[in-house]
Amino acid sequence: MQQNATSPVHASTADHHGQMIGQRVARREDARHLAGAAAFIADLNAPGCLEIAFVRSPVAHGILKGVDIAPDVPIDMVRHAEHFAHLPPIRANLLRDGYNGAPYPLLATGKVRFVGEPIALVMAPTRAQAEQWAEQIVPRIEALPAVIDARDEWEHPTIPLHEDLSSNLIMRTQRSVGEFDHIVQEAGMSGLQHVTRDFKMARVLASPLEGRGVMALRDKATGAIHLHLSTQRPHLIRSFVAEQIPALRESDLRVIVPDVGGGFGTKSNLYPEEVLLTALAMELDHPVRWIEDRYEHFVASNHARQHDQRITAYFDGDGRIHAVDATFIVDGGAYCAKTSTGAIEANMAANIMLGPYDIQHYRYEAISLYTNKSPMGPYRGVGRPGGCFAMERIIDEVAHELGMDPVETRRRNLIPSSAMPYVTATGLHYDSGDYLEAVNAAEQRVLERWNRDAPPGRRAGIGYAMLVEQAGHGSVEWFRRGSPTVYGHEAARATLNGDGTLEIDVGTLAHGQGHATSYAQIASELTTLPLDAIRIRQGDTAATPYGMGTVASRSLVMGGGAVAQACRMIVDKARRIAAANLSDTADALRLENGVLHGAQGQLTLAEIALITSVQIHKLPKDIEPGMSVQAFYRPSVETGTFSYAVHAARVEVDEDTGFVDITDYLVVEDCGTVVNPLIVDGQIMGGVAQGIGQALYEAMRYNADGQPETVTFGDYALPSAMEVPRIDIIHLHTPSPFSVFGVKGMGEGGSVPPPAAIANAVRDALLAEDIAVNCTPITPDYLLDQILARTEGQ
Amino acid sequence: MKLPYFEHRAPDSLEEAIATLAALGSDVKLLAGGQSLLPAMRYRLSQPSVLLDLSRIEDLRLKDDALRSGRIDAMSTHAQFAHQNDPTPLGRLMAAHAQQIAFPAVRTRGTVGGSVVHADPAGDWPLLFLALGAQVELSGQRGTRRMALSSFISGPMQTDIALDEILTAVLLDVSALGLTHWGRAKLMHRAGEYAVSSAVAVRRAGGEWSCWIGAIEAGPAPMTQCAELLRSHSSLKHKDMLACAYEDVRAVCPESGQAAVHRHAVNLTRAIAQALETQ
Repeated sequence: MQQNATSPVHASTADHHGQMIGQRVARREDARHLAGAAAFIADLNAPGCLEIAFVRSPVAHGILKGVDIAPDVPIDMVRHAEHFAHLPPIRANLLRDGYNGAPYPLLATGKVRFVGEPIALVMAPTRAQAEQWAEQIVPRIEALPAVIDARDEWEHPTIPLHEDLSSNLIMRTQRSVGEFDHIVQEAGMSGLQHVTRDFKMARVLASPLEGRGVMALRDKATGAIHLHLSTQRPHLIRSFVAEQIPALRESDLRVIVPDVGGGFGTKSNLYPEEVLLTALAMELDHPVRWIEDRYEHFVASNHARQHDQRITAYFDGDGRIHAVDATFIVDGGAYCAKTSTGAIEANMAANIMLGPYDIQHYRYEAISLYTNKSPMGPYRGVGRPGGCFAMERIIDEVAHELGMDPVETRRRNLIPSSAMPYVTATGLHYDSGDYLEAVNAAEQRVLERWNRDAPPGRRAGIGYAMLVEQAGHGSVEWFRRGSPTVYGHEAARATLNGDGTLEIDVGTLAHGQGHATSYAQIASELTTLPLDAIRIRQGDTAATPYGMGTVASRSLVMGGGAVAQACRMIVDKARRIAAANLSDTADALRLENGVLHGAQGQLTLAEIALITSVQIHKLPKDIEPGMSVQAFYRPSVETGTFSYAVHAARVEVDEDTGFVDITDYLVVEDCGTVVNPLIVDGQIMGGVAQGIGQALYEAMRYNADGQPETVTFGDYALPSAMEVPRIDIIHLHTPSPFSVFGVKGMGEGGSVPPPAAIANAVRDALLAEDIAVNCTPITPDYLLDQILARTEGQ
Repeated sequence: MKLPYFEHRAPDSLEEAIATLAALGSDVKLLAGGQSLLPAMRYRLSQPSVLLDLSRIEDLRLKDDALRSGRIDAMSTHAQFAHQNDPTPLGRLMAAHAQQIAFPAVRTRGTVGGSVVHADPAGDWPLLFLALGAQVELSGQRGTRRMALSSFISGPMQTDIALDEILTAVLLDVSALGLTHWGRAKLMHRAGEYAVSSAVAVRRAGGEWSCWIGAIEAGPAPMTQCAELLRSHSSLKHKDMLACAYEDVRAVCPESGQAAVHRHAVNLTRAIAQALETQ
């Protein structure tokens, strides 16, 4: 069933009537942000706070001989690596054979391995003062040759960057699945053709509006360390920080997360700054704070997605792909960041590449290497943009080889809905979906509204890309990946107050996802309480149950599942209490607008909460007092939900300048049951904007010495509102059989297919000249150089 | 990326500004909007000990009759030109040009004088005023002098300004004030960015054509063959114009790759085509 966008309804006027799920409720958290009344780390007030600036390596690779400190820098405000010698480096583990982890020092010792690596820190009453002193601390570094190209390093290994490793290989996994070898051997005899392409995707980074931020202090009343952090995973980071500092126990550390101005994965890893500031707060009598500035975000936050791929498809004359061969080489940067690394990026890309296609014969090689660049981490999609680009570009190449319509080629290779649930060649358990319906819906909309006419000098093209988005995965998937942290549940604590308000504490961490609204809609659906009676709380390890935070498109499935379970427990208990007081049976009571109606009388949920707290004489002895419950949600099937989407882009390419304009963009998307379509649409649009950035603009570039050349938004181009077209969204609804209400995770998907869809559209526009579109970003020079070469050849 | 420490002085009069500048010499940077200077200071590319802020000097602000008198005072902002609706060809050219400078926030603070003295090869005002054959007025304790902008800008980010001088105005002559035809084309990879290629073509009151391109390494350059072609031919084929533009462009950026040369040549012909349409 299709449903188109309509205007939002407001929380105050949205009547639940047991129908809150699916309402376009305007986000409750927006008013605060629009009024500039939110609180981020930089907004917190802490008297006597010392601001921190880091001395960072100006050299990509070198031997650190020491630092020269100018005489007017107060030496007691400076801290070197030796000061923290009792703290171990950060070690990211992956429980897989052949994984060569390299420890990430808190502050560089002996060697520096990327520009931006922290060497020392300076404290001062103001950040400006701290920066001024930091400038006067000059590292003495004997430069070494830098490793800057992962494929070169793979093909011609140089000296290992890490002394205890024998090469710069982080990890190499390879697998041949099905009858791949046989099919390829017999390809000539069985009349299969093949096409091979080399694809490259540039290094990018998340660029949230708010960079990272840390404030740490000792709470005098409790003696505990309070770590205020801009992070996506408060509980896990608490565990990790406590692990890093031997003298600190988890119970003595409280992580508090205020408003977070975007994360997109970049705030999910553990960073040296977070450990260092915690250690400083333990030794000092002052709060300490570090606010990442934009230069630091460019060099000291994790980068993402740098791929160098070789992809081959073996196909028959009908366009049916029989086998795929894929090599992914990922530039992993200087260290393995905890917990998501370059190895995970490469493995994920190989694992998800086949997407919606019924291809059972597959060989892949996933290789990740150390280079002298900022460490690789997660960014909205982790591996999926690379895997999707590989598959969706190569299927268009198959179509072009055959002179076939790329949409038809896709149709001939889709997994039919009758095959659901379906196990892929790499062992993913797709839960549900009708991919053909999505392709047909996209094609129909495109045929109705778009054309390939363009003004003189411009060429129009249309391209498609598909995605199957593994999300909300439980323990089976995390264990399979070799993650030492095996995710598999979320918790929610629901407390019904005597005034009829409901407080829900969760272990996930919305940083723009609108959980305060969507979780409340779930709670309202089940309790029939109005939205304004429901408060969602997050981001304080002292107040919320242990959770995994918000990453990997899992919160609505896992956190939403926990909220639903907790609310059901509250309602069940309320029914039992009401039944006893109204002399009725629990099942016979009707719950409406927060009131339980029986045959003889009625009780409000507020009155029932009072019975459990201060009217205990009315509480049956076999029912426990109190109206606070904690639910732990663990899905019965733990392989995840699988949303899917078809993206289509219409572009116009200026033949004389090589500039690409995206004139139209369509997303047909199925994330099962939608709790709040307004929020889902927002997630899709934001994701597509980021995908457009990767497709046309963004590239973290380095020179041959490993110096980053793009450390301002002047040089690292993000798309603005002027470059993002209106995005047309069509929702399909195939509920997951494995989740509460049939919801599916969808937070990352929007950003995954755009590079492939846009590249396919540009390829389509310039197909007559056979212009290659094998890299991102698709720069004007890349296209114009080819166009001019073709014209000259004529 | 906090600003380094500096002293901020904001005199009310030009005389006071000139005196301060003379007293402090090379320790001073003039703050004329700060849209390039302040980011450079944050990245520690510039560390003046005194910023002499010109924004409070009434004499340096835009006057109502600027497009008739030809005197554009240095602290006129981009936004003032973007928002004016003077109906003359010059007025419309200035508005169209200003409207494509960066974003509203930059246009509100950035100034004509700041842009000209900054002399960025991709800067918008140097290109336009070079095409208009403008002069600049420079004032200091030793007096006031005028010189052609084309002599004033000596290279990328380089001008002839002396340490004790303030650029007080850009001056247009009657041939620029009475221009009859204008065209401009600016290629930006993203809206609001510095140009990848920028071109201006004008026909001045006396009938003389002037064609310039910017956003090349050495800074804005005249496209003399195109101007001559326009002068000597009343009707021109696009193909001939493009061929001529190619020659002009190649001559001023011999090191550039083929794609860049092509883009500049095409962009220049787009500016010229627009100028020919605005009869």
